Amino acid sequence: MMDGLIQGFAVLLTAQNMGLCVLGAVLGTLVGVLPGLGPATTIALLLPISLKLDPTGAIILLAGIYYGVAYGGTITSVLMRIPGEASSVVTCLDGHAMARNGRAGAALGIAAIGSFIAGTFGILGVMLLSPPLAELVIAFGPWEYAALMLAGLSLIAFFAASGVAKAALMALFGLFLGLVGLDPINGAPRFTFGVPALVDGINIAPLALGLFGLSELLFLALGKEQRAEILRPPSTLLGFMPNREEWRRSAMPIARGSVLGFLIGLLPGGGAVLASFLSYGVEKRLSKHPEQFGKGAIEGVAGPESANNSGTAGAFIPLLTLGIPANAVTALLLGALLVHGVQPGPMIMERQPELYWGVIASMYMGNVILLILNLPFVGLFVRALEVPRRFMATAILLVCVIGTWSTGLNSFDVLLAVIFGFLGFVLRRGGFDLGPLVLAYVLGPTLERSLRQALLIADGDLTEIVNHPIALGFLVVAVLVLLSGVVFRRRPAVVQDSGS
Amino acid sequence: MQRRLILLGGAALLPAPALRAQPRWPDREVTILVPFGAGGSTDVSVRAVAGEAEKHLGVPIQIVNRVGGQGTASLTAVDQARPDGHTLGSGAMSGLAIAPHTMEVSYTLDSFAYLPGAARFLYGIGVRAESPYGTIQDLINAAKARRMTFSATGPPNNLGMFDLNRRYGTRFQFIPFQSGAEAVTAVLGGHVECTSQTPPEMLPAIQSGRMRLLASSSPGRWKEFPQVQTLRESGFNVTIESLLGFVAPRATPPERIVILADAFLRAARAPAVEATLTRFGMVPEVMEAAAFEQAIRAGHARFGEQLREAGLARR
Repeated sequence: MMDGLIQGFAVLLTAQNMGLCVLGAVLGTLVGVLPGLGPATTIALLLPISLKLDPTGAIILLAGIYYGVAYGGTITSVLMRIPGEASSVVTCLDGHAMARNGRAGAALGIAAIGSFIAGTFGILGVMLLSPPLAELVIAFGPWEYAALMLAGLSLIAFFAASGVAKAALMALFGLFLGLVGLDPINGAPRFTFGVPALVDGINIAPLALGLFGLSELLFLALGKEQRAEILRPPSTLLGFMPNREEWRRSAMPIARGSVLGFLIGLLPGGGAVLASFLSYGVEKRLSKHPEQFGKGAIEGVAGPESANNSGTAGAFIPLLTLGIPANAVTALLLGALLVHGVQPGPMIMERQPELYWGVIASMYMGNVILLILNLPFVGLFVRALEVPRRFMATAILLVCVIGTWSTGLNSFDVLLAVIFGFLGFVLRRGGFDLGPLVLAYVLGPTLERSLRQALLIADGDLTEIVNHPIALGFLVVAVLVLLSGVVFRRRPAVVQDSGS
Repeated sequence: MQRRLILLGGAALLPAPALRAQPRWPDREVTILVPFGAGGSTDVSVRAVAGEAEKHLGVPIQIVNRVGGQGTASLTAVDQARPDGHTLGSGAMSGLAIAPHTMEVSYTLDSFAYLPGAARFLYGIGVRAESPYGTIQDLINAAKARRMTFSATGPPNNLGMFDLNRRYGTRFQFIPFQSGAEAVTAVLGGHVECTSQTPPEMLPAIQSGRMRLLASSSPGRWKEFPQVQTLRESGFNVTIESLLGFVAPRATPPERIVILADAFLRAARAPAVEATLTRFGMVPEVMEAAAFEQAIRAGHARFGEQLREAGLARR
């Protein structure tokens, strides 16, 4: 294995491959910062260009974009409360609250460092555990997915800062939004109202940018919420960094987020969005001060931002060892490999060692580059908060409209974003949390599809689930989570000081 | 004031090109809309053909991935494009011959002028290595005795199994999956009993010994597994027919269609195109424009019947 890694670094440390690694990381960060333009779109755009490269160089470049995005997505979430990426939606909640409390630097710093730790952990996982984890992926069938999605949905009980009834209402609304589009089993259009743009469902870009970004704009415009006075930014790099207390509180969330994100990232359809939400829910549950969540708890940034990064690494396992892409981005990477005549699969390590180890080495290097790239700029980004409100509002509007348009080149999506903007404003004014809505919208379609597949396979027999221990396990977790979130809301302080 | 002067100046220049004598067409780039995302088999095949066609047309060909509506958004855009031969569509059976049966689309088969066909998609039926069924006969006999689940994405991948049900009394139950990769994974994990998919998703599993290819459901065998027979060779008169070709808006001037058809026909025969197609589990199937149109129309009629019987057609 060490031989392999040394070979990988030998492949990487050529001028061309290093250049591609840096280019991918920088591009990825930029794409992450810009809402709407996601990794899948960018990689699709660059795919024709990458054909001119050798396969190793092409994958190093495209993979760099993929994990670079998980770093960059945080920045807009924290500074503007606009999710730079779908996987950073949950960071809008506490990341932006921290910025308002004058801790934007700490939020960005801990996100970058957490991302680095989680990314490195993820690569180690890819290197050491690929074959056994590939088996886990295969063991997941429709029952397991349906139960996992239910366990994910049960987390809504923890988002319920606004009360269980309001959270449940938002979740139902999110589930409904997820139903728009073609029926997953018989392909019939549902709730499309004859609008062709709705046939593929509601995109996450207009939904997230509208609910979070444009609604923020309305708050700014109406001046109902005063922006907290930003403390004069410290002049040294260290001044932007999280303080000792924040470090202490972030350590365990980063560790838990790394493991959780990695496992979720392995699973097709799981992905970074679910990983970040799961991590947020877990941290809120384990926290000694859950009441701070939503008001600027650093755990709510550290955990999810770590989870979405280790998730991107995890997704490489099924791709490289089984030829199974876990999400839209790795599907594109698979396409890129096939174009070059590389067939991913269990034999890739023997057949194309320079590619396999080159990619692994580039992931280590890419994470280092991203950390170096992100930390010094934290100060610069924080200064953006000093921009007067009227300019900030214009910037938010511009970013949201361009972001929505760029994902599908579809004017209907922009209209949809505006509608969601007003909706988000009304809901937030009414004291509703938007977290449950987004979570249910993301998980709903997979839950529906998996459950209906499972029932088709079992010929309608719901009791078949007893033959699926993993699925049963998730169901038990879901019930426990719901009970602890709903029934025992006034949680006595019994969790011992574990440094979390 | 100054701006107006510039505008006037520009207008004065406009008629100039028209004065030139019959320039060779095409005189500027041609755009091909691809119904699916970059990196997929349709996209890569179209790019391969386009790369060769550029040489014959003498102008660059731009590829635009107009994704959406299950492959119908790009054909809708072609239908509505200016019929000047500069905007073309590419497509397989899914958008042209299948979607009109399953969803509401604004175009019909008559909305297009047809250009040559270039490739054929391959399909196969596979089981996981642990499966007790070693041959396609075993599998079909078992499916006659009891209900058997199979994974597939959507039409046309599942239609071969429906044909088996209809003609040979099998009870294959379609379990839809969102992507070919998920369909194959479901077989490997034993969540469904067999799959009807295409080579790109099945090959890694087959080559690593996790999956057994029982039959090719295309008219020809898979290049990688010449010993595995087609369904027809095994005595089951069933094939999945899916072709990839090019279309233009109906009202495109016929002389331009002739130029384009000639360029695409020559491009589709290039060895480089075949190499690319093979990597994505397709085979070259070079068809004259008229033959491609006929194949699409025949497919449209046949798929309509199959989809209605399977209860998947639009009501």
